[in-house]
Amino acid sequence: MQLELRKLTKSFGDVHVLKDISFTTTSGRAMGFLGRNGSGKTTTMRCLMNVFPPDSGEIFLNGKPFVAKSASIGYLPEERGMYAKEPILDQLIYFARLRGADKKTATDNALFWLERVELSEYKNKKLEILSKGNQQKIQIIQAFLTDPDILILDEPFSGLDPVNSQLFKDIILDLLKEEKLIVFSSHQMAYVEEFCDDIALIHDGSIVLSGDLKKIKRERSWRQVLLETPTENVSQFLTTLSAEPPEKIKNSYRLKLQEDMSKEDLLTALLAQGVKVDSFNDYLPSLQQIFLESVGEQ
Amino acid sequence: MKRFGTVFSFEAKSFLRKKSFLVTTLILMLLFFSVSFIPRIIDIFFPEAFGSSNASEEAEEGVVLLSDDFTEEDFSRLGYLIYPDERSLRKDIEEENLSSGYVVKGLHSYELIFKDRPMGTVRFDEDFKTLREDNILSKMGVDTQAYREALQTPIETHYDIFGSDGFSNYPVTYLFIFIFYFLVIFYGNVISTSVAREKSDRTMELLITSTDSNSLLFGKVLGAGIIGVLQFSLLIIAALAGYYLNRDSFGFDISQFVQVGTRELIYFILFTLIGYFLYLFLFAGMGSAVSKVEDVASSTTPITLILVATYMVAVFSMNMPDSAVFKAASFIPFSSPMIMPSRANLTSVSDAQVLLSLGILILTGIFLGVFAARVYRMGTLNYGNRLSFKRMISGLFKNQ
Repeated sequence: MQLELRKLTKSFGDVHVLKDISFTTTSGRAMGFLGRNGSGKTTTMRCLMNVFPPDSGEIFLNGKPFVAKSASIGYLPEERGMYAKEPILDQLIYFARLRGADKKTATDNALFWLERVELSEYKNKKLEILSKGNQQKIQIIQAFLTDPDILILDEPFSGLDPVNSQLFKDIILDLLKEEKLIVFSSHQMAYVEEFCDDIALIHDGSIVLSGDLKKIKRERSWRQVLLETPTENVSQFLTTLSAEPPEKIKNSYRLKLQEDMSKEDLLTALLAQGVKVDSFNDYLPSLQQIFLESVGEQ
Repeated sequence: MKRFGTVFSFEAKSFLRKKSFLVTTLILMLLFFSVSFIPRIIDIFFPEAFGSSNASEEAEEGVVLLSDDFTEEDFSRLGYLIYPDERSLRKDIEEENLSSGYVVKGLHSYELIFKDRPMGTVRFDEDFKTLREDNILSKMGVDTQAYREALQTPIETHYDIFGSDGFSNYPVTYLFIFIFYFLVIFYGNVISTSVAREKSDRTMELLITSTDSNSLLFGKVLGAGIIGVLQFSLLIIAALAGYYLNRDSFGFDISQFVQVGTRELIYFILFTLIGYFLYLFLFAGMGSAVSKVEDVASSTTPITLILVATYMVAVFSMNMPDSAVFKAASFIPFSSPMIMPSRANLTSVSDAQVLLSLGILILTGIFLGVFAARVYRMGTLNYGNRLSFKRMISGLFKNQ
């Protein structure tokens, strides 16, 4: 499956919230929709879910116009909205049935997911008695109940501790193996970096960068390498080998290859000088750096 | 409307699950039940409260006779104290030995003296009239004793009514109006608050992306509305049960007042239920037009005003069930639920008229339901801002 957003725009009054938002995502690949607070992530997701229509632009699923209601879709809204005062299992079944599941499937799936996120014991309790993080877990599994083909998750990791974040990363990875199409948004770049296959970076309502994350990183490595070495006082020597002054990052140095030099040439030169090498890699910028650079370019 | 049943049963069950709802129902039932014990309790402590007026409490009254038309015996026989002159009478009134005094000046004239004048008339007025009548009759040579006895024989009357009995149906009509008014006032606010809460808690975003707004709104209103009817019926049953237990202490039989034909009862139930849901749709629509629960009260005020105005028209026009206002109001969908059953009760209304009014009511109800569902759907479009009436109307005709 392929979901494509084409030139979505949306204004509220005089405020242009979305300006020509376009990106594509395919099933089986984790798509991170990333941006700062207030950049337009939630508005994009709401347009996608037809909470309100975009002013212009189109959304396609496999080349055909996308209708949120008729597709098999699970949605986690950014502002969590389940009933605080209703028992957890009852409302999970209710939401599943509203999306068309029969009673048995709804019940079985709700129990399965409660078990999976280790909250079975609270199934007959009201949602409000849970801690914020546990409420968040209930809100997330609400999106999985009908075993949808498409998952739209707005900030799924906010409010989760590292253990629970990992739990949901694992769940999402499992779902990706089942060829689900998953779009999730986040403002915590470091959190989702290891985990996204594709990204779309949004800033002030515009997409500043989108595509395959590995490819983007490689493109942005700019003939740079990262050298990790226990040898001391090598800065002077490294300066002579790097096209730009080397940057020390903890025990490592970021070096830029000189024009006539290959990675192999550099490594040979280092070894010839007796520099010990713990690791020697392409330097790949972090998502954070890519984001800052991309926003800076605007 | 695919998920109507799912929403309906969830909403209804969510009331029945709530401890606060069950406790409130129980407390109210108990209250309604125990109110009927009040006459019995009063009976125990003040046995004469419901009997004749208790003469023992009444202070004495004095009379000064300045006319030869009456004898002192005439008044003392009736329990008045006779005073020789006005001065001593006034003195005793001032010192509160007497509640009041009367100076009889002639056959057609007397003066009343009070320290503080009580509400209403005094018994002296009636007594004086009777004495004067006796006096005049005996002067004419009539045997007053025989005259009074002759008047004691009751007059036999018979009403032959082939339309509605407006006189006997008055109390039950009032009861109908009262039940409708309270049903709507009680549960209208429950509905609008619950919708507004869904909106402010953002539950609406989950709901609206899960299923269609018609299922949601109709399911919600009908589900919660039925529970309201159930609760209200329980209260009425509790009150009736209490009444039947304490029937003897009331001193009157309720069935004397509450007589209603089957046809009128069916009209009442139909109009009340449909009208009730029509109002609930309005309340739900208004609840989804605001974004905070605190704003519900101000946004539902217009509906409450319509309801109160209808109530006023109903109550004040009940004496004139054939007036133009009453007739017109029995066809207007907002007032017909209260007024058409009243009209049918108080005067003759043809079935055709009733059915026409019912038809208008049902169509308007469906229209308002769809309208409310649209407003509900639009509620998600404008977080933070209150929907203006203009936008509500324009949104109604926009294709979604």
